[in-house]
Amino acid sequence: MRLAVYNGLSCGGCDPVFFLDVLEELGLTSSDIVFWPKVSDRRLRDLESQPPESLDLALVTGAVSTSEQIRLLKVLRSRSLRLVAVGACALWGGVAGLGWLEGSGPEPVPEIVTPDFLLPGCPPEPETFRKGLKQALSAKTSSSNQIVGAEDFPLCEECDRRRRPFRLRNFQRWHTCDPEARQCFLQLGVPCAGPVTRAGCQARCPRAGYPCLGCYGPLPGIEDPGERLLSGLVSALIPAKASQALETLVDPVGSLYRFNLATHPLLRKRKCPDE
Amino acid sequence: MSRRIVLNPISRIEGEGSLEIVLDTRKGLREVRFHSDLFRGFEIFCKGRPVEEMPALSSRICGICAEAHYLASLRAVEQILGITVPLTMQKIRGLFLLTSLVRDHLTVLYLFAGPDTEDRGGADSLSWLKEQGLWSDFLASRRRLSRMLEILGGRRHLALGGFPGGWLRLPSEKEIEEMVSLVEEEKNFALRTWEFWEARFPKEEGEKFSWPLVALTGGLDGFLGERITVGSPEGQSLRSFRADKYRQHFREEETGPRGLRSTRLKEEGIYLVGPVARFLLWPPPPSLHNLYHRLKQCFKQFPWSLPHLLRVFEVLLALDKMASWLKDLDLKGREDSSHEDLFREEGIGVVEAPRGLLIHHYRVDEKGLLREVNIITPTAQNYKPLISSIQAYLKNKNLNLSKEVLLGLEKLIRTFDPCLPCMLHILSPYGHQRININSKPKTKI
Repeated sequence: MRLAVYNGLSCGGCDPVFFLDVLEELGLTSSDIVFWPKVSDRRLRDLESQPPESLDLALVTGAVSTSEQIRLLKVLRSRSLRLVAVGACALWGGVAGLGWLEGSGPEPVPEIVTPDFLLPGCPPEPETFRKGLKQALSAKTSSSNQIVGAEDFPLCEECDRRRRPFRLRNFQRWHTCDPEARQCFLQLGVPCAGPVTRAGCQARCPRAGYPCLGCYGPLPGIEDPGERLLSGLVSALIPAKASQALETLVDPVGSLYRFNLATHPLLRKRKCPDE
Repeated sequence: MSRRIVLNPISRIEGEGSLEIVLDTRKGLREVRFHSDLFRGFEIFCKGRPVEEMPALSSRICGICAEAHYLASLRAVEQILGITVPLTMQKIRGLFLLTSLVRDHLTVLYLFAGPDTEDRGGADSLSWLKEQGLWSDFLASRRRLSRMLEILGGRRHLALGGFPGGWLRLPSEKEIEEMVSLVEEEKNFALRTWEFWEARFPKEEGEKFSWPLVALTGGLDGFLGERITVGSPEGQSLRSFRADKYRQHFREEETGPRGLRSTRLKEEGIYLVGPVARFLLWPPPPSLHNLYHRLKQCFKQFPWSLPHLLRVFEVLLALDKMASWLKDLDLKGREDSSHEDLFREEGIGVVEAPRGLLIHHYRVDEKGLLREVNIITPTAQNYKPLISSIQAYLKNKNLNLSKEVLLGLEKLIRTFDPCLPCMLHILSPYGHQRININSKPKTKI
């Protein structure tokens, strides 16, 4: 197995999961590491000198924001048989995508090249990583932008918090909740991305006491998860109190598009007006 | 005439960046430049976000020292909410931080610096770990530490768990027992790590330094301290002050057109943070006296691997401390601090991150939305000492930049353990055009 890993614009948290929690379990420890700056002394020229499609597996774990990163990403694409984009930054721009609110931010990988597989998470849980890469490595036919590792059903199905039908008078901020409360965050009035987000992480954040941030990305068929979540939240408001209640929802764009603002349809329109 | 040598990328460090050495054929070394395209603008896009969300956002600054950012941010949030944290909760946080410190140091020692003990180029950490017969033990250690973080913070990577004034999920008695045995097993691995590094203790001298030192005040409890100590290069304490007064002692300055900002002490200039500063500034620990005195002796010669040996020493100390905290952990009768629903204007949170002093400084509006964010990371503070060490190293080699000299240069860089994602406002894309927002759709290949 000939292998390359490139981080791009990211926190560098995805590839340690690959190195430490995936390599051994997937039997990849005898791989020839052609390029992976974090663990190898090989330089960029070593990657550039590879023949086309000579790498069995290449991972990219970050977004891109400079011409050099775009160039490197294209080199990686052309040299690899399977390119897997890993993590929220690579797939949708990640938290740095919030920079678009200030006028500039990163581009997700699929905007530049077409990865074969997309493996979501911030970072992907080790189980997701292993499952996703097994799928990618065993695929017989070529794919493009196929989500692997995560589930097709909503995160709420993995969440153990108590859920009952509810109506909301207003929204609540997370730090004002009782940390020991075990009810559904939405029932408490705290925005939680669970209903629009893919499962697969075993709802780790809600179980730990933090609302889902949405890092496994939108469910299949949802193009604008923030809008869908907002629509769901608003439908739970008591109609007579709705306008007052909406005043208590702070930073809607930041909380509803935490990892995927860089892929928002309106932003794409602004970037590419002719589309 | 000038000549350029570029190491692209610098290998086996946290984050991707390159080093450019510019030589003047007549006058010698002209400039050393670090480049990285890792600028994400954290301090810009966090503006407008609710302050309570900052710990989770800021743990995305760095995937390696996420827990340190998380805690520094949480402490800044608590200042804004006017909360003091009960002692038991402090211990839980201490366990969380020290677990991540052990994991971080072992990552540096085995993944980044390990192959340097062999003095050969072209190594990758995976083959090296396998050749040394360390691979499975190292993975087992990672599993133990990840499990600790999972118990304390709900996730094995980018763990969370903090709550303003307390902690979200306290470990059960059974989990505490599990952590006690995990720490015991980890101690055995840490002792073997010490033996491994000691056996490879090199004779050659490294680059001596003469920078003032800065660390949070106190011994291991100082990892979550509230005062900052400034000391002489020999470790003599010069003064200490409350961390929230840091602006009276530090000056951040714009240095050049690239938007770079570096931090200096107003009186002493550039300074060093991290394991070396902690070792020299903190009082001798209550345990490991022999190791402590042996390491102290090493400062006379300052071999290149000394910072790495200090990392192993900190791992041993941290595990001792974790064992003692776990012994006294009394979680009966949970107490979280309450707070008013009022936001103070400013909050400054500090911790000793694995790489050194880390400061998160926020200002918020009346709704608790962030107006200003300033994050001073250890790598940003150590940037100038790193560059001047590189310059000194190159001058000592008479600018004969053979392959061996360049390998030695990377070895030197790794002793500083720079973390490029953490460099925030220090590095911005240089020489590479940023994507233009109004550009036409890019051609896909």
